Amino acid sequence: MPLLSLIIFAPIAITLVGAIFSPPKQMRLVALVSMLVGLALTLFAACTQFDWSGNHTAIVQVYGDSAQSSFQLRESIQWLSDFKISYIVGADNLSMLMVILTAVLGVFGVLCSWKAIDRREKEFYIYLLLLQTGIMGTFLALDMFLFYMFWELMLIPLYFMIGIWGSANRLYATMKFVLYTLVGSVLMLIAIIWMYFNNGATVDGVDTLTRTYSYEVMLATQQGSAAATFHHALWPFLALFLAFAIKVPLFPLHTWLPDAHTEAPTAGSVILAGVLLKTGGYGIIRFCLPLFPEAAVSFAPAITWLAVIAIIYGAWTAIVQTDIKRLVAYSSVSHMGFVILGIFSMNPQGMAGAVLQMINHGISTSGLFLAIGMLYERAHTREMSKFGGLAHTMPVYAALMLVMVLSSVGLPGLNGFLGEFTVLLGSMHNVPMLLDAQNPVSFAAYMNMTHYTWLVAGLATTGVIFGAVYLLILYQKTFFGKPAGAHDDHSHDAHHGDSHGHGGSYPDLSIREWGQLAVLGVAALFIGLYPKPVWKAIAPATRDALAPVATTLDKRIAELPNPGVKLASIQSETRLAAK
Amino acid sequence: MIDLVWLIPVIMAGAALANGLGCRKLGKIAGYISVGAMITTFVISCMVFLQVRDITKAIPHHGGEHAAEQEAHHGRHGASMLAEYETLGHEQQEAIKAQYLFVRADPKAPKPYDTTVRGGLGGHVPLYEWINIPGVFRGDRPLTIEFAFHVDQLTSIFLMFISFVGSLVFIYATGYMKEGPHNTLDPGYARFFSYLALFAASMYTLILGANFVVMFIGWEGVGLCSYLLIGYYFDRQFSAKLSCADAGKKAFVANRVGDFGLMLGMFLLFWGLGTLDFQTIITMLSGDVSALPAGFGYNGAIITAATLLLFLGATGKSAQIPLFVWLPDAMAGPTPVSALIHAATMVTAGIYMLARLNVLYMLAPTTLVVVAVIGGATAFIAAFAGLTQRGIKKILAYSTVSQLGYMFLAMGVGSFAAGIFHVFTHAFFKACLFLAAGSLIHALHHEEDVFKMGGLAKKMKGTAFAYGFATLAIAGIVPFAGFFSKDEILYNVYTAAQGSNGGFYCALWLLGLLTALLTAFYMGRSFVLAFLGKTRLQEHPAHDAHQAEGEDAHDDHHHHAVAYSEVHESPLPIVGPIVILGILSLVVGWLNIPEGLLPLGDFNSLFHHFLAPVTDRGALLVAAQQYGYTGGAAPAGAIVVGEVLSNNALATNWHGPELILAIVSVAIGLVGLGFAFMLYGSGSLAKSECLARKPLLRNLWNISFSAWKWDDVYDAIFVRMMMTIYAIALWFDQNIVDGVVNGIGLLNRRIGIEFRRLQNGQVQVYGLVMFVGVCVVLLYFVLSLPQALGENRMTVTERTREILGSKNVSSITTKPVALPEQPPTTLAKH
Repeated sequence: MPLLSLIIFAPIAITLVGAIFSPPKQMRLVALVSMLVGLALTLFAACTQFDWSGNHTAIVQVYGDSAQSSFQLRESIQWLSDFKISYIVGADNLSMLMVILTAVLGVFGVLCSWKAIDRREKEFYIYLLLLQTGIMGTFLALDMFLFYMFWELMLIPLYFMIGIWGSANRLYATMKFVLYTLVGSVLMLIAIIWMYFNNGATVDGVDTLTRTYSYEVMLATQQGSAAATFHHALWPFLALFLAFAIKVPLFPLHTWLPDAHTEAPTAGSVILAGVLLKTGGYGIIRFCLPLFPEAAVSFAPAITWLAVIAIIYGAWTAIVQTDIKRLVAYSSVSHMGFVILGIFSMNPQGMAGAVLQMINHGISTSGLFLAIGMLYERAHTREMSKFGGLAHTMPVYAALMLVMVLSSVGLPGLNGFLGEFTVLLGSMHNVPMLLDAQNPVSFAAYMNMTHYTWLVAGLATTGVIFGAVYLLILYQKTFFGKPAGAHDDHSHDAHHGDSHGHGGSYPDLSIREWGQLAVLGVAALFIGLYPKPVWKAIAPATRDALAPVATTLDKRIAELPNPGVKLASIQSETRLAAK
Repeated sequence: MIDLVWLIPVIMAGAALANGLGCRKLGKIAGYISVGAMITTFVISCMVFLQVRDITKAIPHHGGEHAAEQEAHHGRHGASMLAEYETLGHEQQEAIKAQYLFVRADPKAPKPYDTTVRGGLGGHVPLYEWINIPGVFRGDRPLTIEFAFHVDQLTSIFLMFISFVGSLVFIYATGYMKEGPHNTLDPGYARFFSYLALFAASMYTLILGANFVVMFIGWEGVGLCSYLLIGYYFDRQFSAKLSCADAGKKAFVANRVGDFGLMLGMFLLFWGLGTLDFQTIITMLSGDVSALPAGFGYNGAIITAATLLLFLGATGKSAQIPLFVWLPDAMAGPTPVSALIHAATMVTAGIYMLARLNVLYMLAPTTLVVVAVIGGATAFIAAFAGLTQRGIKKILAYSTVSQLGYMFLAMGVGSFAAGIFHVFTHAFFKACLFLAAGSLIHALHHEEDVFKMGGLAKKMKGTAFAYGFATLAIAGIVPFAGFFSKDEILYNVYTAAQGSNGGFYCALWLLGLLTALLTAFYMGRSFVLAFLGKTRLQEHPAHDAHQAEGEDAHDDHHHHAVAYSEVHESPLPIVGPIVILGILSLVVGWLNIPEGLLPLGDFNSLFHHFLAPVTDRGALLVAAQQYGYTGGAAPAGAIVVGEVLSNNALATNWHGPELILAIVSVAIGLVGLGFAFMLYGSGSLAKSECLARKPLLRNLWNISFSAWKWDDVYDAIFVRMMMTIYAIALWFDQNIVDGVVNGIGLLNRRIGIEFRRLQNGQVQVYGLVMFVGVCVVLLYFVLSLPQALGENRMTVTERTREILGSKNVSSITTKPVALPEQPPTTLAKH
């Protein structure tokens, strides 16, 4: 059974068929069924068909090139043979985790649109499912060209979702979103074509090249030899990295995100924050690090600084927002900064933390957007100043929102903490930066800062303080205090004729609503207290992502002027670990 | 029972969950659930304590008891060893003694000192693996964090007093959280008890955690509960500037600043030692010195940095300079919360952590100096601020900050057991004071201003009696609890002043004495103003009661002036706990009577003896290292000799001017109290107002009443400055970062318009453009050629590769590039 293809295409197929037969009002049911089918298939694959140990390997053939591959549930069809493009999907631990996240949040994407979408339902749900297909495909594609196609496929449905069902300033936002990410896509396409032509290794001064779009073949070629052709390629790495960094988004490429989030309908925000941003982090871990380890190590210090800036800067700008959605959007910039910081620490703590942080951000930020969407449906405004005292009138909502906020704050015992903690722990031992500090012409050496990873960790950890500030402001302004409007004269309400007076009068959550938040809350608590299965699933992903970089790092350390001493200072732990 | 210790937090968490889910439907039952759970945990704590005590007893204090066993073990007679010892020089004798002392305190010590409990003196209770990140690269350090609890003497003491005081406060709260004449339950009754239970669960996790990260769950958990409970009346205003919710946020953020330090401290320790488990860290540091990584020896750079960062965490949680500002505002929470969280338990977490890590702190003398200074300064500054406050809870809040300062002062001079003993006695008398204050506030319908009280002793005998006892305790009057604990701290500071840097410690000691004077005065003042003299309340109910009702509805504070004749003692659930705590404020100090004051044989310094295996480890290690201990077990001879020699060697040797110092500090306490009586005893405020008019005193009064303007300064520096920075960041984002993006968009449109003009169909123009392009490309190559052929002796192919950033030009052209005339840029079009 082509399980992965079913996961990718079955939901959209069901929706398309359903769209023909169902009346518009029932379209949501069709979409829900589709998403549930997708979820069921995913869980079936993950629980029964997938080997989480990470020990799976097999020899695969792609257009005559053979490679050792660790991907499971592979499906391979020759597609455009003239260009050696094929349809290959397969999963490893990293992609499987992301697929599960996508499948779960997809269901919430439908549920939160249940009442919010009341016009052009068919189109909306088709776009939503198409988006889901694009994301699933992105996480599962093993052919670079196929990956690029799915990557572009994610763009279009969201363009329409924001453009048609968004709020007031939607056209600007959607235009910006599409153009911005399109720039990244073009860079990615160039990089992919470059990779197609240049995949190989230099043996005795002779280039032996294997033209391929297959990720598995590329990986095998590039890892097989120290003289692999990608090793000195800086520009393709940068092009690829920029494409992913825009998606993450990394400072200073983040400004599309607040606009897109603010204007998107709830489902758009949920999917955007929950999974779409993860495609960026996924891409970096999947492609940038293993294929371009040299470039990754070289650029890591600079990227790390950008990540640190993103963490702090995202938090600072979040603090002064007045629009709830904008606040959470900027908090995403900060939180995704942790992901980048962890990845480029290039140690297991950082990498595992980054993967977990992606999952956590998917849970907590989607939860926040879901919750905000529920409020928006009632109040038709996102201005925090229009709320207040909701804890009185909506206690269930207040309690569940608190869990989401605390998960996002990184309270130990909930999921958010584990990701942040391990990433920050890893950042104190950022290996490329420690190497950089040994380089006589680096900034670090110039400043005579042998411990400047401490500075990195110290600055990044301030994000923990600012994170508490903006999330508590958010919570206090909406839930505490007296109900807003209690003292207002009613002239105020004239602007919002449809909102029946602010504060106080909103009904508490329905079962459909609190059910969504409760599921995410339980997930947050479960991962926070018993993360063992998740760590187990992440460990092989960490290993696969770091192994190629580790070789490079090892080589770089050996190249240092006084390797013995330097090795000791960079890996001071070796001695103790050996005990 | 130690193996089942995890039940304690789980029971409380269960109670929290039950109350949280049941919410308003539960009504009164919510209180019963939490109280029942708390009492259950008290029972379990008692059992754990007894077990720990039995194990501790099994460790010999006196060598003679085990002489036979030692003979069998070492095969030599103790007496002959002793004779040999006598012949040694002083230095060697000291070395042997120190090694013995240290090894005896070592949980991994060889028999007969090993005990049956796992891990030596304490029980390690692993539950499951919580964080597990294996290494990938050979230099990687795996991260494994167990979700594990650890029980030892220190833990069991904390368990005992937290569960005991907690139970009393919970019972009290069932009486306190009622409103109005009909004793209707507070609307958030279940929510309140849910938070309280969650707090207890977190507090238990904090003290039980076997490693930093599990402790951190509790650490942040209590912070969260504190936030929620301070902001319990989330729709009310606390002061002119702050709402209750603001006060909660302030507490949480101040704590987060501390947690920032705590996390970084953890990171430093992890990258240095490869573990975050308390016992492993302590064992490593007290083990082979040469095996330790750089910076972890005595006064090492990294251990100093790490302990300082951890101490920043402690200042956040335990309200010390620079982060103490949140605690006075934390009084926005209901009074039981102030008593339990902001006096007895949560705020002592920082002290607990320092005591837990006493080995680290003793190895970092620089940090200890900082701790002592911060502690002493906070004690004085807060006590000074307490002198003039009018709100009774405000007075008690500053008093708490000040007393916590004392505890840190004790830690700073290396007497961790003394600090913990003050935590212990303080938990009783300060909880008593807060609960009694709550009883007053309850009886006076939310009146907190002591200037508006007076003469209440006649009306509320139980409350007054307990408050009086606790006041005597905190003022350090013999034989109340506070006397013994505070005196021990001051005595230890005095002892430190006899060593090196005597002047510095002497100054700290004098500061401590001065603080004791201020403490006695402000506590006496609050007692006299509230309970003695002529009342300043209205004698009889006013006729305009309905007007007061109107005001009440307006400001939602439910407080209208209660007339003196209307005041009556609070109900039993409120008074009962207060009286019990009042009596305990007298007796708990007797657990640690120093020999120098009253020789009682085995009964002397009970508390200290019990804690010594945990809290004296650091001091012993440093002493042992001074005499040449470098890790490993002490030689058998040392053990035997030490065993014979040491009589109560683990206890602080109380000697010298102990008695004189005690008399001095009691005298100071009496002076403070007496002055308060003199000034306010009559029930009139005239005398104090007269004093306050004198210019110098006026200024001092202003400084005190505004609490050194600390809040204003922070407001100006941090809050406003940060707000400006946030605003600048936002401006930067909207105008620069986004401006560039929008600018590029506009530029593109502009370029599009311009380029449209070029598409004019004239072949000549196209040709010209092409020519220029080819020229540019050629020029580029000619210019780069000398470099390519220069000292690097690069071939053109290599140069081309370098330009393209790769090594595979051939892949593009399918044949090697040999000639410079073939510009690779054109090839890229293939």
